[in-house]
Amino acid sequence: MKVIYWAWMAVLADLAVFANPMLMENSTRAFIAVWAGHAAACTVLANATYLLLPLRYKNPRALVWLLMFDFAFIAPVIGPLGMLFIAHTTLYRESRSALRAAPATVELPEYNVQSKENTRSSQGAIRVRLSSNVPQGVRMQALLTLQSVPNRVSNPILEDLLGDATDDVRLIAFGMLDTEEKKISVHIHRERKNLEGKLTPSQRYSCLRYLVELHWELIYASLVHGELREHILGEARQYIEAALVLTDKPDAGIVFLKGRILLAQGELAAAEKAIVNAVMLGQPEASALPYLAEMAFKRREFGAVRNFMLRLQGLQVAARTQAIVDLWGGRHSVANSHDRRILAHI
Amino acid sequence: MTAASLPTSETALPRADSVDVLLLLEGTFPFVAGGVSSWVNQIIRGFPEIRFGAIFIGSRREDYGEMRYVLPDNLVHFDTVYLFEGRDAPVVERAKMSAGIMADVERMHDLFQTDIRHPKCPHLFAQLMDEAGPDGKLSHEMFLYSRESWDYIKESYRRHSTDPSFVDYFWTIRTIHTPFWQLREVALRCPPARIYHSISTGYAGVLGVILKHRHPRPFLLSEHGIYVKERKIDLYQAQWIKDNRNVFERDTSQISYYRELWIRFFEHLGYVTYQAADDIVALYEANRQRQLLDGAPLERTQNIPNGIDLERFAPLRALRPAKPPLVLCLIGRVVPIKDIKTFIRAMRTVIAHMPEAEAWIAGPEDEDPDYADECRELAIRLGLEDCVKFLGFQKLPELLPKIGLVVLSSISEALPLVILEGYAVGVPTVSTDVGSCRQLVYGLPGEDEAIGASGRVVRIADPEALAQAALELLGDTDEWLRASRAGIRRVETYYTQSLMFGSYRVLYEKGFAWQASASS
Repeated sequence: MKVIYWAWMAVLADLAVFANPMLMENSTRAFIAVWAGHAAACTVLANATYLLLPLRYKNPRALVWLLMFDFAFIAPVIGPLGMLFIAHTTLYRESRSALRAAPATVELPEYNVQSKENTRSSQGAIRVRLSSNVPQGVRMQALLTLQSVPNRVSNPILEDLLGDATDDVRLIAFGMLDTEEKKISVHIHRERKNLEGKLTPSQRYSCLRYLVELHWELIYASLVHGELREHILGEARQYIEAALVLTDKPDAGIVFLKGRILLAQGELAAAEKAIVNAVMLGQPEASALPYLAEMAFKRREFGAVRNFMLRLQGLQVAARTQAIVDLWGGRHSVANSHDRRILAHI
Repeated sequence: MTAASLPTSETALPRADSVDVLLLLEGTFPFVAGGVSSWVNQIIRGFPEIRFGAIFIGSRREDYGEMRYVLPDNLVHFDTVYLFEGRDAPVVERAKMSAGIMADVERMHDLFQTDIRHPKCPHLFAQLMDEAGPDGKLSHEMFLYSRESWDYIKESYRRHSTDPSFVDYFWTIRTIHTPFWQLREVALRCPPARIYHSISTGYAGVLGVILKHRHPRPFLLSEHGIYVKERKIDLYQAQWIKDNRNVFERDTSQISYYRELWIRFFEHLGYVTYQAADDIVALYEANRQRQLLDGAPLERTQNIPNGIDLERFAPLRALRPAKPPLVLCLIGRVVPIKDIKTFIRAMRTVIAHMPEAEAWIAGPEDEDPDYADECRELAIRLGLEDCVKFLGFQKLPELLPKIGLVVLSSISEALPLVILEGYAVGVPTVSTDVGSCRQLVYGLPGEDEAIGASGRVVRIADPEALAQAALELLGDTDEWLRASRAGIRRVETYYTQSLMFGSYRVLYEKGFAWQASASS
């Protein structure tokens, strides 16, 4: 039987209870019978109206049901009739609006590197505006927009544009990449000169550490590739090892960076050791676990990957990492979650 | 001849009462070494029977050193003008612009803004340029000090500027316009010529426009690169252009007003030059298409590729070893546009696979010493100090027989002579995909293409690809020999100096004939 009929029957039953001659009797039995009948009708009505409610109003389940029951119970006859009237009309409108609803549109993905803030410049949209069939003026503007996008995102796009058929686009992309590279190289040059001078161990340590970070920046910003990347990684490793020799108490940051350099060089065991060591020295787990999971994945140890991901579930992590955590933790099927809306591109 | 024996003072410069061809040169021969300057030198020397004159247009005197070329004997007149040298502004005095000339100024700016293709636009520009002098109706004082000029600047700021600073608008307008009075001044002292020949649009082109307006003569424009395009690229990245928009006004996808203003300025100069020119020459088809887009009339355009002196280079083939020397050589100035750094980075990969290979960089380093230092430092940083050699300027006949590949890692080129010179000696090339390099390596569709590849073309700023292409050629003697033979055949068939001179002879004779018929 349809739920709505159950609701009507409950309302009629409630009417019958209050139209019953027992209502005039002055006995405990009649008092209990009337209120028990009313409570039974209200229970049926609360169940029926709960089922008729739109999905978005159904949670939390117990409290919503109790609210329905209270409305019906506190105002006998009028309450159930009012509830039934509202449920009926809402149901009618919902079904009509569902029939006439415009098709849903899928939003373009918002590119998101580190934060849950939606950035104004979506990577997908910029790439579309940079494609060769777009008018020249629009392409140039899109290219300039890349100046306000993080390097790690913009540099691969600029790299692609180095092969563009249009001179202007190609040269501006080159100019932007060259400027980025030059900024870092100037510092590397200066620090290398400093290193040749007379330095205290502490100054030498700072200098070496800065050199490692600068070399790592070249890798992180995708400014070097192939053999050159290998060479830069080798240089970074030499500097970091020289720096670590100079300190008895290395901090978590430098040990963690060593782990990332080793990982980039493909030395998984040494990288894992360094990252675990960094965590013991105070490196937040939230930043270390993804790399440990990555190494486990490379070793094809999928159980270990899942364990690392489960450990990440309660931690504050970047949006992109969160999507991967959800996937490995089985949360990816949760509908309409907040994360789904933010990570529409996954 | 060394620089010490070159003329150094203005008094030593040749002067003549009249010339056959007056070359209009901006930032090139004889003060700057490079492809365009070599071409100018080649053209002047290639026509010894023609009396040439040349006007050099530069930014500031101190930006240029000594002359890099010996002035040829048939360059009978040479003059210089520096547009951004700190000249004193005219003495402040009351100035008034006539209503008629102000109306023309307004009309011209309106046409530039809204209807540049209007037939009156270039004519109005030339007419006003001709008035831009103390003897004209639009003196510099009128521009600087008249009420009418001030009011028009204010009105234009209100109507067009999207940048909040009027002060910056005012000074940008002054800076943009100031060179015009100097160009008109130099136009007055130019000797009479039978043909005006500009090597670019821009300020040199404007001088051509003024000269042609004053003395109707054939005006020939030969572009190597595309001036407007090059200025646009510079301006898009220039750090000196102000942007006063605050955080609420700034839209990162919109360029600042002053940047746009400068870009439009050079676009307009390009357009009026194309409109004034009787013949417009590009080095290759892609550049000709670009000229058409920028407003060059189709029927006046043509391609004339560069050519080299084969007789000078062909005998050197006998000096070459049977196997390719493992030497990659970049011949060119050590300047950012040559992207020497990509070549050095590529050597990191080359050395990993071919440890005995060497990279030679043969070219002067004095144009941008800081960049040269950066390149040396990069070589050291990459552990390549033993295999990357900076040779400075070298004589090509001595250098070319010793190298296995001519490498061109430039981010922008037109039709590079070094590739052709390498071909003439049988040296294949690995080049970036810029200018006409693809055409030079793989040939134009048809017979040229059938000759085969005379090297490899790779993307700009891609050290890995550059290295792989070099390794492919140097590591396979048969392939290298095939490329070498293709290069020789291509240069002998399509890129000889005699072909180029032949094409220019036709243009010059047409100009001289026009002059003869006009005077008869």
